[in-house]
Amino acid sequence: MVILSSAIKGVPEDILEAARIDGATEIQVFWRVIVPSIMSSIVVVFTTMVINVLKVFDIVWVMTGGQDGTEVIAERMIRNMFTFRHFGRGAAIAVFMFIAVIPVMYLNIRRFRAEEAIR
Amino acid sequence: MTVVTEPQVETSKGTEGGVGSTGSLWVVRVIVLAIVLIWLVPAVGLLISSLREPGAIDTTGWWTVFGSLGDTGQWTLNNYREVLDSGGFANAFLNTLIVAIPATVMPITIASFAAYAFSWMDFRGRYILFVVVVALLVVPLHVALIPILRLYAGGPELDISWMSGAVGWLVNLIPQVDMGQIETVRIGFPLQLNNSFLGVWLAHTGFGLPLAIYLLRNYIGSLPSSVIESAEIDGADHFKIFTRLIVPLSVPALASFAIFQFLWVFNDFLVALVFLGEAPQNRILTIALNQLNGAFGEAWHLLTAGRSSRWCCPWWCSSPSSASSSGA
Repeated sequence: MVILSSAIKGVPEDILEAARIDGATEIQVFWRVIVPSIMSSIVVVFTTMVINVLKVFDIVWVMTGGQDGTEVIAERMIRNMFTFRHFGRGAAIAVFMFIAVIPVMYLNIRRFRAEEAIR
Repeated sequence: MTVVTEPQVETSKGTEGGVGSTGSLWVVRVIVLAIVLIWLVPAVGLLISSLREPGAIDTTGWWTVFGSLGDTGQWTLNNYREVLDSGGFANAFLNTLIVAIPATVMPITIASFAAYAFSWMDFRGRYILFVVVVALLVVPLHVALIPILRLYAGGPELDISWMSGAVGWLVNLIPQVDMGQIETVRIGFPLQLNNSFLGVWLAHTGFGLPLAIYLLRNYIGSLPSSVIESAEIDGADHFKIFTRLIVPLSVPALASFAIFQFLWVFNDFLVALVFLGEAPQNRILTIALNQLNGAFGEAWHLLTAGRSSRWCCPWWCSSPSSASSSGA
């Protein structure tokens, strides 16, 4: 939220004004001007949120304990490691989570490459 | 959250002239105000609870004070007095700063170097390395606690018993050495970082680095290349470019990450409990608060006062923190 807010404040005022002079409504200014210019920050927030959600465990652990089909992958990893003392299985789930974020990271790398190509 | 929303009001004020629709502006204001109020409710409740008698807290909710606002007898400062007199509170506050300040400076220093390298230095495998660093964010820190604790206690242990074949062949040339000893050889030296400030600094640094590298890489990578190229033409080496150009230009990103990291360390309980322990001389504020609460959670009224007095530091250091520390 802080990242997005600072990114929006970083959008230069003159391109917003230019868009408004061209007759864009405020909603159009937002979707056509602001969102494309803060795309890199959106991707950053998206990536960190995806990763945070993927590794969420404490909320599930406290609220339902993984009962009734609410088990998540990180919670299963912790349970295998500390409850069942099966460190190998826990580490295997950790590796699986690591693999699961690779698509998101691929998106990031592609964007970095594109950024470097035009700079 | 409160801080984030306040500037939005200002921005919409600034754009008012451009659009000329005051109706939508009021909608924005009402929504922002509602969000601020929702986020403030727990904080206000905590503050009110900290000013009430223990018996009153246990029997009625904090919102009932609004029914009898005129009754001045229900307010008390005894909770604060008890917390501040409980001994070791000032020491714990100092310990929190001792932990938090280096644990903020260290990851920022390392991460800004790394972010510069990842975005402006061309070396083999930097994308792969970057993916690995950032993907490590996905491992919850709870699973790393035991291995790090063992590392701190025993030092880097390397089981070289798999080499016993080669070693055995070697020692057969020297028949005096006993083979039985060789098979369990471990290389290692004791680090003894448990219960030391250095240990907790390093732990916080390690846990904070992936996010720091990712955020700073994103910012530093988007700096204009013309500046850096002209510095290169003028004969600046990488270190000079970093200290004279990159650091001054990326102060906003450095500051925002510093706030994140400082708040995270300031609010942290688990890492400090594991690596620093509960001994009176090196316990930090969150652990002191936990001990104030008592083994059975019977001293709830002290907790609210301690919590509220904790806010003074983040409030002083940065404005977003008041919302975050109440949310934590």
